[in-house]
Amino acid sequence: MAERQNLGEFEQVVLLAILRLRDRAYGASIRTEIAKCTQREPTPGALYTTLDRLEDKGLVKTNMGHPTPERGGRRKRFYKVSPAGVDAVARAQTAFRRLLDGVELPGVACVY
Amino acid sequence: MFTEATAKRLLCLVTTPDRAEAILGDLTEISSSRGPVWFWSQWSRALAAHAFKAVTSAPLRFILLAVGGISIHTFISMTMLELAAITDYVAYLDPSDLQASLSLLPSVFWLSLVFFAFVGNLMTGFLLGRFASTRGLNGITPFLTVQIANWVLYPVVGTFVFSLPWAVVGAGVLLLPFVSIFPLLVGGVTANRKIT
Repeated sequence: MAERQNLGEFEQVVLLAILRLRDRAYGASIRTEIAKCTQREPTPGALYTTLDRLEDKGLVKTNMGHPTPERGGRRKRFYKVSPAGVDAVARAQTAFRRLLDGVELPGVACVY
Repeated sequence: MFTEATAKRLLCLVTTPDRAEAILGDLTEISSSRGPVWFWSQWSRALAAHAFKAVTSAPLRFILLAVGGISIHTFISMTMLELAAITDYVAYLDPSDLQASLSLLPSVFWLSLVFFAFVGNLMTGFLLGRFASTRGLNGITPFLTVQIANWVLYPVVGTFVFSLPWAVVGAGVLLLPFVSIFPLLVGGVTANRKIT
């Protein structure tokens, strides 16, 4: 049985952004997606070290794309959430929703 | 001139070439709307974050690498000090002669001490970079932190604890970056491991 991974808040944010982007998830697009959804721009240092950590934990898989001119001829590193990553983020979100159940917060719609 | 090729080479010291290429590509893509200042500031932050990843992701390894660095450095520097002492054994054996020896600057003893300190740090950086099971610069970051702390604390400890003469304190402050921090970096970079 695979070891259960506990996720930090930013790790969950990154995993959810990758899931939202599907097969278009690479550094710049993940950063933009996070900024769009959370109204805060992650620093490259925080984002890339988190992506490295998620990859080391086996929660995301990566592959290199093709070089493109707008990137100075450099390749993109595409990220995909692994089954273990999906499981980890699902457990974390389930726990959050259980905690939210019965709690009324201003501006937060009830999901149930 | 500091170019993007240099930026990639430096990033390759703290992360894999594939990751370095992707990071620079992302920064290039975003900086088309934000300008070169944004590019370089974000590049330096990414570099710093990766260099200190060893501290945040594995604190125990950080401590072990720092202790390892101190041990290797102590062993090498004691040997080097013995070699330097051969050149001027009177100043080495009799610390009261320190001031007299200083007045003879640059004596063979002090010049050889500086040279051996340089070589000692070069060897320490190389050994840590080679055997730390991580990329070269990440391997030396813990001991580099110790050396920078040593440099910052040296004038305070030298002045108020050991009451060293100003000439010694000043010479130490000026020389330490060149005989400890710089060779340590060169040693670590030279030993850079290609881990993918």
